[in-house]
Amino acid sequence: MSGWKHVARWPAARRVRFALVGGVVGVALAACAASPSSSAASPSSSAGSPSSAGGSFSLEVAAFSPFTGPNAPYGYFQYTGCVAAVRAINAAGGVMGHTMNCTIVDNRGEPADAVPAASNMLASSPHLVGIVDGDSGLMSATVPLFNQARIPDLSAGGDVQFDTNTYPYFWRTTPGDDVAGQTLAAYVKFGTSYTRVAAVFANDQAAQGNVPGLVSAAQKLGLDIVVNEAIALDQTTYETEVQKILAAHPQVIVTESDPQTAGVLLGALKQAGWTGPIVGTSGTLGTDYDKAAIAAIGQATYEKNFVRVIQYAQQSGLAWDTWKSALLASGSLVKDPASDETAIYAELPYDHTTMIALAMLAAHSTDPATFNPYIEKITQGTTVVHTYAQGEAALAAGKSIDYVGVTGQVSFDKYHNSGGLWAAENPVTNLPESLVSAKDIAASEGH
Amino acid sequence: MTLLLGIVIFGIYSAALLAIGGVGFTLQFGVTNVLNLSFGSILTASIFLEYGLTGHSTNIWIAMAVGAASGAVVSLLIGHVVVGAYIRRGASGFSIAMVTIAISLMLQFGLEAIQGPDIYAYAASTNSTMNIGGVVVSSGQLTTIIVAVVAMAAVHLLLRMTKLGLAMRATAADVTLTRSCGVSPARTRAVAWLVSGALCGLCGVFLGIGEGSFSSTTGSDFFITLAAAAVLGGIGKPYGAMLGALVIGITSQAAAAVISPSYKSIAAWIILIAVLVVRPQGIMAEFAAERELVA
Repeated sequence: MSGWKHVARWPAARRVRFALVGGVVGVALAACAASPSSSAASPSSSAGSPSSAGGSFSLEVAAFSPFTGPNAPYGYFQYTGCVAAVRAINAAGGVMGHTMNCTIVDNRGEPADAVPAASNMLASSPHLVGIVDGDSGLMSATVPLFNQARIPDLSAGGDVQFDTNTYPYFWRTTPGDDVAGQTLAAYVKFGTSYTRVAAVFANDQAAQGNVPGLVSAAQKLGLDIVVNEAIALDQTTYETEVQKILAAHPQVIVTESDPQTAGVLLGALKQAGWTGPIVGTSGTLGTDYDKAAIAAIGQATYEKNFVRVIQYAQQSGLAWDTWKSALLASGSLVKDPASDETAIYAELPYDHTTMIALAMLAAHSTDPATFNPYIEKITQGTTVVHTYAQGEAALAAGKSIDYVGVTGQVSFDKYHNSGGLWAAENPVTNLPESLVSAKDIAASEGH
Repeated sequence: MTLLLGIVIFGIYSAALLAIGGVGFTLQFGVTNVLNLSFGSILTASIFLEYGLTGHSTNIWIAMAVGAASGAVVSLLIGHVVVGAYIRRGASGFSIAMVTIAISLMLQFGLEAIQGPDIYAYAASTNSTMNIGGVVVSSGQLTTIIVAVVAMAAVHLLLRMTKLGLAMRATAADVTLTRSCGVSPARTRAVAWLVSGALCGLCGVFLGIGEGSFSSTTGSDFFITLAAAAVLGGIGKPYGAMLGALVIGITSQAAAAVISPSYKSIAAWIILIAVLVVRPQGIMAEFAAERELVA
């Protein structure tokens, strides 16, 4: 799982263009979106301690994501997951007498917009207890701010710099983008019979984050990267690039790009006669990507030739049932919740929000600085729980808990990173076609 | 050899898209002296309108007609009604450019608010293909090139062979003199907005159908390259925009093939900057004289 790559990789070219056209106004909009009040308090003083505010109040979890601009759909994944979790938490009685709610903080997917948005959020949200995000490209700009404000940030972003970070308030339940690249190689090696691989990734930070891991793992596994093309985003044609790619005679193409780039690229591949398999990363996840791909190559070809190697979440069991039930009951707050049932980017913030709530219960505090260490502790206990209600009951009974949510077991390393299970899923049915085992991934790492 | 042929063919295809829009953009600027930075959003609005009005039809002729009409109407409303009001009140060129940015953002965010941030996709392409010297070209791409050539020829005929074209060129050159000759600059400008919008809509349709999908930012993304083609050729000069489009189209394809796809956009900008150092007025234009905005 490479994190939330669409958001992470808002194309550099697009950034320039958008900044030219609407940068100033965009910043203002982002700032407004992030500023529900006009508080001028400093981040550390205002966002720190909900428990000290006294009285009854609602605890806020911020979905810090793009909600406008081309990556807006990915913000809504975060919000959807958060809303579903909050529904389940509040239905179980809330957290120590407090209800929880999710707030939208629009960062537009741009560092220039995200930093003021984060600052405004931290300054104006006295009951903020956690942040859920998934934006690889913004992490280096915003994670320091969240840590300075001592607000736990549960992330699905794949920025590889955070593979070895030491921010105490940063937690990530997906591996870095480099691991995603290794997983791609492991899938090609052990899940197919192909050896000649074309790497076709967009030239933005998140997509390119896959490439070092892919190239390194391919070498270890005896795969041949016959061509490695970093494609410019949002071009009107990719036929010239495709000519170069196909001239290298690959057997399989591994790829990641934003939906519109993918639509043009896949269309060019089809036009040039490519009928071979295509393997996408988690950055190809989402209905927009599906729509663009289907428009380019048709649903039958998409279903037959395309697989997506992504973090795997089971679609059965108590965790799944609870997630699904809470999601489907959230129709008044989120658009078409059923379409997000199997969306990992919605499932991750669901688990993240639940973990924040359980950590507060375990710590007997809504003070982020106090409960932050418990985010790890609630994944290390002896009693396995799959829902907030189960966790609440177990903690009330004095047990230590191990939360295994819809995205599976969480096991943080010393850098607060936790990997997950992986599978190659069909993009149309969303069903796993094959699992990528930890052993396969270990082999791709040379172990 | 195949790669070289591909560079030329797909460079021409890219140029065709840029030229249709670029000529519209620069023609309107030349006649009205208004830097219309909402052009990209008009393009987006045209795609949305075409997509909605035709029921996602990929019948290129219907799409062209609806897209061009949509673009013309939106452009006329913006240019003649909104911008015209500011011109009549004596707003400066810079102020009006800012107004067009505001209109652009309103259109973009308005579309996003109404339609959502989702991507919209046409039905899967059923274009037939043709093999030209080992390069596979789709019928859609050929159609785009042909329509661009026809559109450019039509613009040429309009400007050179009609009274309206003469009025446009005269208005672009000297408004006061034009008025003294009995030509209404306001009416001429309205026609310029209309023609510009029609070309914008046409460009949007080919862009949307060619890419297979679009969103509320599609036009804004494309606009900068399109404007670069116009500036490269000489802003306000339709023939310059055609040449600029060709230079940018082929340069970007060559960069993708010879250097790296990552340099596709960069190469075009390097060419733009290099040309403007040598010829700040663009390839084909004379230095533009400062002109007043007159209703």
